[in-house]
Amino acid sequence: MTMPQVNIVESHQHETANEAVILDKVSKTYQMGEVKVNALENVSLELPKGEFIVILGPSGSGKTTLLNLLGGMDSPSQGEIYINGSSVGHLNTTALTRHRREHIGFIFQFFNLIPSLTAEENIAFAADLVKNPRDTQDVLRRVGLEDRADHFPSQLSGGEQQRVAIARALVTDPPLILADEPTGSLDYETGKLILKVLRKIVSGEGKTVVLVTHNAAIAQMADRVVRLRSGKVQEIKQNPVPLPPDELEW
Amino acid sequence: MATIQRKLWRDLRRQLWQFAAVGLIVLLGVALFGASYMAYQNLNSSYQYSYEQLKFMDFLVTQRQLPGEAVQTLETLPGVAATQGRLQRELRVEMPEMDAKRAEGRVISLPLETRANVNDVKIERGDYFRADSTPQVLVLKNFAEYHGLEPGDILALTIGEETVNFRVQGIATSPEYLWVAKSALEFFPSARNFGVFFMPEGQMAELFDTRGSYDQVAIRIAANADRSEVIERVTEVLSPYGLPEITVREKWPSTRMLDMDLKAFSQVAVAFPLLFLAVAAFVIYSLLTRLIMAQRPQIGLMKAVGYSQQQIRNHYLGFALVVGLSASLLGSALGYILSISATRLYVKLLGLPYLNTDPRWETIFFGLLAGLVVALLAGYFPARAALRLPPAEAMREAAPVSSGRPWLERVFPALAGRSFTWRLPFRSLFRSRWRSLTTILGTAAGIALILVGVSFFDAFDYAIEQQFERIQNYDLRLSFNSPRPESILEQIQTIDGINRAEGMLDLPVRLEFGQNSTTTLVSGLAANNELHGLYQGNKRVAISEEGILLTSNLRQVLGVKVGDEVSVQAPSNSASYRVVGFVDQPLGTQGFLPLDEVRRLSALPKALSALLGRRTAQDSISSIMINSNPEASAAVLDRLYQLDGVAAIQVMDRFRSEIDDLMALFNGFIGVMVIFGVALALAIVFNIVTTNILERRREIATMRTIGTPRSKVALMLTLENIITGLLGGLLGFGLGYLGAGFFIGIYNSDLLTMSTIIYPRTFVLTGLGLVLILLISELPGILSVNRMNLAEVTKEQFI
Repeated sequence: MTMPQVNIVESHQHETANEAVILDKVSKTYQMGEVKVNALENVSLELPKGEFIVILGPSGSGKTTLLNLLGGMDSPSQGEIYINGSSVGHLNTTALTRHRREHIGFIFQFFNLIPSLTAEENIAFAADLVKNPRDTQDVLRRVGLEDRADHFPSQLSGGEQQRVAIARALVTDPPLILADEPTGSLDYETGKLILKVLRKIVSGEGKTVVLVTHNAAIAQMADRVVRLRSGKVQEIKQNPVPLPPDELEW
Repeated sequence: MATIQRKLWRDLRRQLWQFAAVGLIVLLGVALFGASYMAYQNLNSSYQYSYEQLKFMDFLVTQRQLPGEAVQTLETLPGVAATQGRLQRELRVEMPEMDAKRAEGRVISLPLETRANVNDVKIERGDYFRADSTPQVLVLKNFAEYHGLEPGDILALTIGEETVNFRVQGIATSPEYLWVAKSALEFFPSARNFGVFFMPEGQMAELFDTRGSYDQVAIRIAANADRSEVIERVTEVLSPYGLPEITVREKWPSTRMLDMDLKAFSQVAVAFPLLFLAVAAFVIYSLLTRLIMAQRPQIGLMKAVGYSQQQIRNHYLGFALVVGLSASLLGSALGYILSISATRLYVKLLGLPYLNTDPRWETIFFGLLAGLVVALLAGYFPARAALRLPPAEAMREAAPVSSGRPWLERVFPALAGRSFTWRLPFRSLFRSRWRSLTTILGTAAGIALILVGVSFFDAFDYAIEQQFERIQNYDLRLSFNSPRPESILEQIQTIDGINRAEGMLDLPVRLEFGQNSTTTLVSGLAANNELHGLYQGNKRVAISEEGILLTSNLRQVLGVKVGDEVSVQAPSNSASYRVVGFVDQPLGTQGFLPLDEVRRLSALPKALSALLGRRTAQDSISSIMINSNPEASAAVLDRLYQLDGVAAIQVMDRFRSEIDDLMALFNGFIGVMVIFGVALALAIVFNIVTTNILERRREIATMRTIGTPRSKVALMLTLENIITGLLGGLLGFGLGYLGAGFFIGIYNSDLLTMSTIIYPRTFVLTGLGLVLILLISELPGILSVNRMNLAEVTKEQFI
């Protein structure tokens, strides 16, 4: 019989007083038929808490793969990922589900609202999963949609649908919000409105937001910008004076 | 209510018609199972209940001139619960004013003042015997109904040379004659020619001058007694009076016939609904797979926001549970109601004395469980498959299985040059192979179900046609009380309106081959016989001096092949014959030998023949087949009835219609199956076609947005449906034919042998029906996509 490994807990913890996210030599390889595709190659990153972080890169650079790994929607082929100090890279399905439920809020490019539920019910759909969710009306108010609570997604505009998606991400009160091209399917003005809401989440609520985009203009509002190209980190740049979303131009 | 449950109800409501159609399939499967199996159980218990109520015998002892004291002794034997000594004689019924004129009768005695201890009767109309001196009879219901006899009518029965008028005291049913079979060899006696009557014992003893003796004793054994031991004791007690003939309950012609019928019924009652449920399971599986796969992005989202595998699986199982449970409940209720109607119909047609339709809780429970399990299993696998996808992948729409130009366009370059209206439907077939496959298989299953049901009608119709048009080339069959000389044929030939007459000698025999044996009839036919056609497929076979011809169903019963020697045991002689061939004959089992050979087999030893005064001459015949001129039939019948020794004349046309009446129940049962089959086929095709269209709302909306006219969209969808429908139809024809062979095989018995026949018109009508169903099925889908708000649909991410 083998002895229990006493260092298991230690090996899954990381001294991360200030880091929301740490990636340690993370690689992700997909098998596409007979071809191996390296979506991420040996990526190491440390992203501090309470910042608005933009991951920038062209199509196929590995941004969405990185976001999926952070969100526990996918597992790395190699390397380790720590979210708020806990290793999540190699958790089993149940632990990953709990991790997403308690620590992550997702915002998608295509909103992914459930068409059969109203705006408020879409938010409640996530709130039902945690013990002490935030008030659904309150989060709706924060995204400016309190008067749209009873509308179904098909009765909302694209910007409104995305704000419902943001409210859904906030209702479980996760420390980390992951946004995948949240303005990708919105017009310029609506896009800026969404970015303002996201910025407010960081400044007003102290959350960490990781936003993935190919739109370089958005990088100007970030506290930190990570540039990806062909699955590798090209550059990590801190932005001492982020621009307010209103002043962004694209 | 948790939001995820709300989502479940909303989704169910949103796709109400699709889920309802899935539910309908489960409902039909469960209802059919419940209806047919409970009808079988009701029928069985109605028989048992009738046997119980009317104290049906466990066995019958037949022995002439049995003293009354011997019967009393039997009652005291251990294991004997009750005995009933009785007389049973054959006589002639004279009905000069009626169409049939004359019939063969069997009269059985019953106690006058008390009811019988064994084999009692139930009085359906009128009364039991009255204690007066007027000659009185009870008439068995089927004979009374055929001839329109009512209590109070007068009936003339000829006993020996004397004709006596009897008052019809009542119309009765008897446990011995639930199925009125004259003997183990005459399963289909016509009520026109054969009737059963009951007389008070004293009156009968006087008429037949029996002087206190009995012909038979019907015996019921005690609850825990061993029947064979009781039979041994009875045989021992009766041995001083000769060797008794024992007939046990299950060998009694009526019981044997009903058991055979019930067995075939039970097999079809289980196998057909199982086929239904299997088809339903497959269709529900494919539909739920598609409904769940359409929710792939939602599954991805649920995973992303932190719903556990179990929560998501339960959510999707919830659809199957709601659909399965509600459909199974409704199906069970419908099945129960239908089973009562089916049993009532059966009981009415057979004229059973009692009806038992208690709810069969175990069957209802099994039906419910089967429906639920089928739905849950059908929902479980797609839910599990969806859960295997990583959330990020689940949120992306599933890519088409194949891309690029399909092989069809490479093989048929002409198609590649056609407009997209023609090319897209073909491409769609290959683009979503699962969708195409389920459409083809689902349609095939629907078609097969219809064909299996309808094939029974065709096969039965074909069998009856063969029997009455090809094999029996005669329209009258005259039978004598006892064999007559062949010379009577010359007399008959002189009657105006008779085209041809041929004699026949029937002999009940036991056929043996190795360990197998069966009781059947051997008919002796003249070498130049024309009126009884013997066929192997389309080839006419002649009666052979070289050996015996057997009906093809005896091949399995005896396990014989051409060239084998079978032993033929007649009451007075036995011989071995080589099997020279098999002939097709739908009704009954039979052997055929040259007429002279049967005469040899039937010959009694000379001394005995002289003693009994029975004819065993070398030229005797027992019946005559007559081909007459239809216009002269009434006059011909009159003349024939005037001949000496005529027991009955069977008019084949009427006999055929009686068989048709008898089969009305079978037709009703199969008719219900066909209705269910059509409903199921409709539900399957409707489901699949609607899902095919609704699954592509966004794609169709996009086509419409870029300016494709509605008519073109409808044409493309119709083309695709017709292509898959036709492929499914072809496969369904093949499967239906195989299925028909299987089901007809399990329905065949000694009584009725049907071949797998599906008429071309059935294929054509089914094919046309399929096209019609396809066109009707696509209407709601097309109307729905035509009405949709393009802006809204193209904006929806989850459909």
